[in-house]
Amino acid sequence: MASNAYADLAQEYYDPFHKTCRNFDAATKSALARKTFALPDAGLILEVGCGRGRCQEFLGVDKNRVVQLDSSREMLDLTDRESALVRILANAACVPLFDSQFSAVVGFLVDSFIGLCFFAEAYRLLLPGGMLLVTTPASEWGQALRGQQEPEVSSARFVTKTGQAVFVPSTLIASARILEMLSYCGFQSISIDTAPLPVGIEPISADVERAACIYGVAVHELPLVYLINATKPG
Amino acid sequence: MLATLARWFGIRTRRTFRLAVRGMSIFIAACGVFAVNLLMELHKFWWAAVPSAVLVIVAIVEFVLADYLAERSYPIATEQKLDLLERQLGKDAVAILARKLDRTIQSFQACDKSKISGTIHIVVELLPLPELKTRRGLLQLTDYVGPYGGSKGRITTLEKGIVGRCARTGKMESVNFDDVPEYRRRMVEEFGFTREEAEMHTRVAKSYLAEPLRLSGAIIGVLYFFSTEAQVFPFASSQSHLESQAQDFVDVLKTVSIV
Repeated sequence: MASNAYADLAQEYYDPFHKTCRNFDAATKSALARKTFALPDAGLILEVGCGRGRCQEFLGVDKNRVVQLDSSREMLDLTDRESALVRILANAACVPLFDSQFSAVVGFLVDSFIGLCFFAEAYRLLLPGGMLLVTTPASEWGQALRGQQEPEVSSARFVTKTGQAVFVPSTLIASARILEMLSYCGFQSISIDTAPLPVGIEPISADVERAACIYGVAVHELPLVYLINATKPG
Repeated sequence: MLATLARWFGIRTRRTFRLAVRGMSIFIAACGVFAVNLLMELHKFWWAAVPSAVLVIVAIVEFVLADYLAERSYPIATEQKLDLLERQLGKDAVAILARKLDRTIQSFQACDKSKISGTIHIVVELLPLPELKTRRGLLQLTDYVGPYGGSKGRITTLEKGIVGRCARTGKMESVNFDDVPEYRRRMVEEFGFTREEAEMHTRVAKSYLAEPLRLSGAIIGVLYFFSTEAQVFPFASSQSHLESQAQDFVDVLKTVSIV
């Protein structure tokens, strides 16, 4: 079980106070609206790093198809949450479930556990023909703010409402490397779309503005989220 | 503290440790003899007792204490391996192993190879303890290849770390840490280290892999890699590829008479 870095953050993670997360939500919604993909209309859906659950909000799927998984007990314990078939406390890179049981593995902002092990695990859990659909912060955005040095490069800093700084694992991977990882794991029909912050969204996070300023682009031109879609061969 | 001091002076083997102590003893003894003679000439007999005492202490250090410390820090069986490596085989063998480690790192896939470090450990006999008649450990045979890690000569017991676990189970072992707090906790809870020992290791690494080296069915060492990139192992290499790489290393070690 991973360390529970989100314990101090869970109660306020979905609060408008955390503007960067809300900007990511807006970019995710916009990317999903633009994307024409067909989520399998039958079978179980595993929502990894689910937090309070976003499957119904973002994808409109039936709650009886959704299995929520998170490594944070506090996140799974949030009362204001989407309903699901079952909740599982586990690391998304090491899921204690048998192979080939899900028609889709979905996750929104999976930067806390994205990597080769997670993709391999998602592949193992998917049925043949199953779909992987995840979003993660764009590496272009993060590199501008975090630089290249450990540990800053692999952690995200949240400032809570009480002013406490909380660091959580956050790996940002360039889209070309994500493509390489997915191909290596065996996925096909891979697409990685970049989504900026939609025009008209307010308030804009200072971290988004700062990154845009560093690159010398408008905030609505800055790559903010990757929408990753891939299929396990049937 | 002594080990840290020795490392600071570049002393990593029994031979260099003994040479260093012997050189220091000769120098101090020479100064002491000169001082005794000088004070005797000046008829300061009581004062001559001071450098004479120093001479006695130096003799005890050289002929008793240094041997005891060398034996404690650098057991003979382990030292023989290092001697073979350093004296008989020289830098060529180390370079061959380092190049091979680098080629293995370059063979990993779907990961950032520049973030991977690796080395070889071989199983060695350690001095027995009163409660443990036979005791084995793992000797780091080469300096790390890659951006992180320490130099050769480090010895860990089979009870500790992913390398020790691999040598015990005889299977490929991998572990991934999400962050430093998880690393600290699991190093103590799962990998047999004290908190202080865990703090001494490289904490920026996130993904670890250990592959056993076998000779005639027995575990003779461990190939060890770690990456500062998250979730690299075990998926960056297939099991069959790793096993074939491990066999190549065993062949090299056999050729250079390390095993």
